[in-house]
Amino acid sequence: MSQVEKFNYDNRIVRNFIIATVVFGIVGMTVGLLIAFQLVTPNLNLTQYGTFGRIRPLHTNAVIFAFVGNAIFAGVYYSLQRLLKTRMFSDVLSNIHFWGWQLIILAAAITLPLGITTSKEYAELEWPIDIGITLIWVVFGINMFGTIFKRRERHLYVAIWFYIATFVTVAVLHIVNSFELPVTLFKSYSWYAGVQDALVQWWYGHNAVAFFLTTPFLGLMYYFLPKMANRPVYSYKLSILHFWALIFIYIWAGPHHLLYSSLPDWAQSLGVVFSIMLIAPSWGGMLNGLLTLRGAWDKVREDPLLKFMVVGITAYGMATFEGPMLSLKNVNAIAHFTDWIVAHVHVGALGWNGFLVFAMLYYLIPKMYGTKLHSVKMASTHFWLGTLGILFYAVPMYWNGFTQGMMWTYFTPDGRLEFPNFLSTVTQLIPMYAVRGIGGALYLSGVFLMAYNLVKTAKSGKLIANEAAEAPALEKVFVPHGSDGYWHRWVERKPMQMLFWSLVVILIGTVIELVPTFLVKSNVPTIASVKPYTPLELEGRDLYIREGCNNCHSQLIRPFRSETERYGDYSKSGEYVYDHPFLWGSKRTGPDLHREGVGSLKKGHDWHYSHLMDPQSTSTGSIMPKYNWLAEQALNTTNTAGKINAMRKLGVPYPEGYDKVALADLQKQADEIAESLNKSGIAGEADDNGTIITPLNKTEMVAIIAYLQRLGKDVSPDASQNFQMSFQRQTSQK
Amino acid sequence: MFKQFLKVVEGADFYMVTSFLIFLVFFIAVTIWLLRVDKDYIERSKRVPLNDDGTINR
Repeated sequence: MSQVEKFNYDNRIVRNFIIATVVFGIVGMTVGLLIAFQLVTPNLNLTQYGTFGRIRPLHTNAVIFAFVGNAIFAGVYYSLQRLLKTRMFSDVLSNIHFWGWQLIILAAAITLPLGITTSKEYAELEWPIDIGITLIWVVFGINMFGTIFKRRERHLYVAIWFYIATFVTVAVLHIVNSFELPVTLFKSYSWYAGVQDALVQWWYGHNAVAFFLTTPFLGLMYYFLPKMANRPVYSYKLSILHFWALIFIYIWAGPHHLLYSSLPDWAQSLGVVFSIMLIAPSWGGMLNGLLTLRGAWDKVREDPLLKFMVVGITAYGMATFEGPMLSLKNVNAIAHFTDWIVAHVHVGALGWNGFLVFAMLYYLIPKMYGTKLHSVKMASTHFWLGTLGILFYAVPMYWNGFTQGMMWTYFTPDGRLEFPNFLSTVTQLIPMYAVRGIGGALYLSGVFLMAYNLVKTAKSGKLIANEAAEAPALEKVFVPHGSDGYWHRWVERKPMQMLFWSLVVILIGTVIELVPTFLVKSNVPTIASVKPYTPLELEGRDLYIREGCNNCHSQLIRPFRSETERYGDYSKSGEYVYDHPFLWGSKRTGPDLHREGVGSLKKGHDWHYSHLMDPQSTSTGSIMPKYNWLAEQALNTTNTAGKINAMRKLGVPYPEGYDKVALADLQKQADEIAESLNKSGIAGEADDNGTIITPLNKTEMVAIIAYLQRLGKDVSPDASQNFQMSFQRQTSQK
Repeated sequence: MFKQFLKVVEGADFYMVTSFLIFLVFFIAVTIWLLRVDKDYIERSKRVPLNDDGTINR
């Protein structure tokens, strides 16, 4: 027997991550509440920095990376030390990790409202912040593996397997999806274009759910549930089996976000098949969690922590059953682009992630402060507020999703759309949006109650910053127990092998799914009439990204009669070849815009001007915010040449040297649009003295109008009306 | 459904079959390991979080 060694667990770092969890939980959910009510009353879109399009990403980033992220780190730092019977590898790294992560959150909170965004969902942060995330993630990894290497417990408990898989996969996802070409410090273009960008993005997006919201939480469940219930996990074998199956299968499922899109059929089908298979390992985890409580249900009745765990794990089971169902093409056809998806993710986020975090915090604070929970009753009240909050959130959103999804598809007996005006399918939803807001408010009020309860608990005790512990040192020579020594040794002596094999397992899916789409040319049939954007349209497109228009408007017409009737011809992959990044969107709070500039959807420049200035003036009952600053602010053209050059590097066929004449073309097109607006009696926005703030032809407004009018033109008979760039004019003269 | 996309991309059938086989072999290997694994190991691993975590101040 080795000598018993004395050491201390670092509780301070766990406490710090917990404070951050609670603070950012409140911030993130409050922003969520605000955007929920913005859909009821557009007047809540305060200033250009507080529109739905700009702060919806703030909400998603805050709850995913700040609230859930900090909670993961708190749970991992607490459980890892105890499962391995050692202090974290390095206090310095722990602190760099903590402060670095908070700095990233701060950077996100500043840049997103400023409209500095890549537009790619859950990866909106610009390139310098992406680099910061990478560095901090590596610090976390070194700290985690350092701890594993100096452990005093031979067995690597299954929770740690989940942590390792999380670390490896998030690293791969983040790096691959963040390939972008910087133009300035705050602007970059995605390395990928169109369909390929969409595939990479949703491979990332789906697996962010898998490896940030699922695998670390399963790890936490496998540690905290046995501790809370004081009984071992139901089946350890099942935990191993579902671990490997889960990480193997999850990585394939991303394309189910792109069903009926112009992604090649084989990739869509692959996504569907693996999504269906995913039920098995997901439910393996859920059942293992619930069955751990077998024979302890009497405790569940009394202990609010276990109540949170049971509802949380059940929510996981529901969301992971619903997910595969939503990936069936016929269900997806109705649910996609509607509030159904919002309901689906919130069952997972509020139920599974939120409730597990709350249970964990109620467990940790009394333990680390050497005291009892201030009020068990208050925690029970929190549980009921949270549960009611989820119900009041989810039910109206399912209702809305189904209502709108069906309304889009209804035809009259004589074969016309029953609701040809998209807006009529939106105004229908507003009462339920209000109920959803109440659900969110209930849920958030529970979080405030928890914060109060935890602060009171902490005040009644004292933080045991360095918790004394002792354990025998690890024997240098491995002594196998039983008959199966070789494999144990293999897994347990080499944690790096866990890392390696997790990496191999997730790379198999990644490579098979992504590589053919990139290499096989037939995957993206080119369309000769599709031309690069003009400089003004490119600037307009960047404004569309800045304002986050893609948060409410899709640019992807699915091949259904109900869609082609409403929007025009369905979208082809060849139309997106110059789209760095793609802007397909994932939710239609407003109509699709992929054919906005052509056919029956085409409107005059003056209509767009009036609509952007005050959407309700052209569309009664619209819930879109006003974008009046677009007519007041001058278009920044200092980076136009740089943008053209960046696009050239990415393979967009602007001729060499075009960056030098691009501005002249930009102004020519802007003048044309301004002149047309003048003819319609629009002179520009004036200040109180009646002086025009910015001449129309210099405003951001003309750029965004130019972009909106371009949408759909390339593949329509109107293609000839496209503004001709100087090199195109020369070619046509020849 | 499968035929449809197998035709579209040359070699997609190879990807499909290979990936499925890799998964199958891997899954069977883990299952066999779990069936053969020493009970003692499972029991000890299972109890790791419940074993006294070594703290001595309480």
